[in-house]
Amino acid sequence: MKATTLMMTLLGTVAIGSMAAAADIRIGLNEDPDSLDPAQSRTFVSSLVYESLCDRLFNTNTDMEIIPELATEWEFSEDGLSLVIQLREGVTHHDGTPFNAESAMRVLERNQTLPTSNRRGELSSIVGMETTGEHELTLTLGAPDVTLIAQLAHHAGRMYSPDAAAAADEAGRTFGANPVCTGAYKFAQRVEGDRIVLERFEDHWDAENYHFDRVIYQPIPDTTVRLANVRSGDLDISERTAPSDVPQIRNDDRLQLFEVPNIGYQGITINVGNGPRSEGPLGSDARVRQALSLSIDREALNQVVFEGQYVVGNQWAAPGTTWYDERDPVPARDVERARELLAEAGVETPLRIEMQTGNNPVAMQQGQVIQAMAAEAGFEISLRATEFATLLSENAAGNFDMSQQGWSGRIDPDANIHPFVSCEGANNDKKYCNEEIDRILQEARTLPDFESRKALYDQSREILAEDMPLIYLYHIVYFYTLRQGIEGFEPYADGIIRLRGVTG
Amino acid sequence: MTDASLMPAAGATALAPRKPNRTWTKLKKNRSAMVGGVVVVLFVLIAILAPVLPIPSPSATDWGKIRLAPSAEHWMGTDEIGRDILSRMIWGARASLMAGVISVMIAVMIGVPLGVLAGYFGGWTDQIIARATDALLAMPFLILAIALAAFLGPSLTNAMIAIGLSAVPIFIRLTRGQVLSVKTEDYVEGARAIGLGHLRIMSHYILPNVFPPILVQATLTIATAIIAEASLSFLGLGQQPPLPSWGSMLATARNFLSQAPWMALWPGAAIFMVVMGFNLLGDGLRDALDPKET
Repeated sequence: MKATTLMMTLLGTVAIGSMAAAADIRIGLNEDPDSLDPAQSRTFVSSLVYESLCDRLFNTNTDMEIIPELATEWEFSEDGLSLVIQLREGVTHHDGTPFNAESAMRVLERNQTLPTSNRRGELSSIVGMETTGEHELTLTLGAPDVTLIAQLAHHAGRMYSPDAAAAADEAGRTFGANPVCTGAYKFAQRVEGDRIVLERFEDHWDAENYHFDRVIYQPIPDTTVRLANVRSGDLDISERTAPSDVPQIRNDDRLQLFEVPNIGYQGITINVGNGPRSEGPLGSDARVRQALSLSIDREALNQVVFEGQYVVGNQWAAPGTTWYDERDPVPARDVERARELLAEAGVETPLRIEMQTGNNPVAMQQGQVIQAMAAEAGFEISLRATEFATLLSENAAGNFDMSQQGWSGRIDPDANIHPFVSCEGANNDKKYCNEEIDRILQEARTLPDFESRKALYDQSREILAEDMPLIYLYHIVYFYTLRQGIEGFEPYADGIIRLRGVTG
Repeated sequence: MTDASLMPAAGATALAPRKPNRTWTKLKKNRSAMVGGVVVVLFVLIAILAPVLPIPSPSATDWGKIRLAPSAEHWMGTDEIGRDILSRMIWGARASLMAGVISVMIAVMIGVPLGVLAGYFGGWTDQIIARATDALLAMPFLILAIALAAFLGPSLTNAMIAIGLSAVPIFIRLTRGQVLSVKTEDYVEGARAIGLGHLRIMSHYILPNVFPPILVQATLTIATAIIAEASLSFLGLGQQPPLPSWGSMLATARNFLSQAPWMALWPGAAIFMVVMGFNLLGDGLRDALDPKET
């Protein structure tokens, strides 16, 4: 009898043990996210973690249309100066405090007022907030803002516990080191550069659709190593698989491949106004930047580094998409013209410039291709490979000539251009400033109809093509590698991995 | 008994006419050392002749020829951005050998004088130098080199300095030990007795007699330094693109192991050969320079 009980207990323990192990999902990330404070984050990769950790007011479907999440209904007033949002009932934060209109308001207020917040520009149209019911929030806008819902469908609308955030802020602790949010999984542990562990939150309003006990995010910058980890079963999902590995994965029965064109862009950000390093010929003379752009063969870059799997580009919108300006097609390479421009600018060649690049093999390869192409026009580019978070902080500090970097893209066009080129833009590390651009982009925020908005963006595109603080190069396609057995996964154009309904 | 057996031998050495090339004769007989020597000479020749060999530029790219397998046109194939691998291997040999030789020269030039000082003067001079050396030796060679290279900033020159500095303690300790045994020899005592200055005793009486083991150690350390340079370049802390280095070539090749295995094969094989060459040569030199062995 005793022996039987013991056996049963042992068997039970083994069963539970193996169940627990099977109920983890491991996701390989291309970079280690920056701060996990939704008010501060500025990386794409942090969105992947947030999607399980902090629910947002609005989400998007696979067609990138807005759908409700913590907001269930919303309505703009006729003059567009007020927005009433109905919030989901029965939602609690991970610390047990209830989510309601008041907590949502405090989160938005913190996002607007925290000195280190990167959300201020995104929420600048909101001039007043009030709770008009337990679960009804009314926002007053200074001017009509058609971008607002899209902003609230991203970092700015990620809902966290205002009490926990206020406590951390007051005590001088970093809220992002121990975030308390509303998502299906709660924060358990983070080892910088190694892993972020989230645990199932039983009281989540949609808990039944989330099937894992733990979600473990592991930053592995090397695409080959990341892929090898999926092959060996140490990872279940790997994001941003290298295009050069795609043909092999297609032929591997143990793996599944998913792909979706991204809505963002990749390119080179040039320091045109941030500190002394912007004062060289590259930062101070637009002709030099135009020459650099002309020296790059975008099509060859795509073929050589990305096996032709990506889409070449020259604007923040990809060719063929809604916001692309067809009057300005992707330019062909023109080394002659590039040399002429350098001569006109009176630059002594070779012009030595440094390019910051990610420390992963694909970024390095791309850097070397650009280096070789630009050399023919008279640029001598040295590459500085840095870890992603360092790259961003070096950018912010103005410690760069130019940086190879991109943007994961947002559904509303404003967020793909305004933060990068407006004088006070949150991501404008190059400190580009042109009052005309500011005026145009500000006006575009207020126009609800597509045609007039597009006309303004086209107008800004013309100015930017002349000033060229950013060189757009290509648009990536997101490839995801999954081990066989993971089911219910769907790729989204914003690149964010949704675990709702995923099993395995 | 012991004395009796030693006496004739000592007497014979004293009486026999000294052959000027005794070391060379011994080295020539050592087959593996000769193989090592030939390999080293071959790589050195290739490295020296790199600018005049009829090869394309190591940085010349061809977008139409990405990751081609070895062929008549590209004997070792092409790399991930269409550069000729043979050319990069040859220019990479320059980086590797230069890194090996120059970093060891740095280590010898700093380490040997410090070792002689410590061993010759003893006392607090020795205490300071020897303890500092012990502290440095407590850190693994490569870790120290990586830390220094990261601190100095990524470039081949800095990598050489980092590797050289990391190898300094090896030479301090070796030299000090040799000096400790040599300075009690009669001829040193004699030199002191006739009133020669410290500097002259160190440079004319001690240094020449501690030199052979240092030469052996230097040869072996070149091998280690070449691996260290490859490791630093692999980590992006050595030779900077587009200039080639075997280490950085390996780092890139790792991403295409299944699509283009030859990209990793050549630099891997070259590092293996040249390191083996220096090791065999160093071993042979040690045997040849050892007065105890016949």
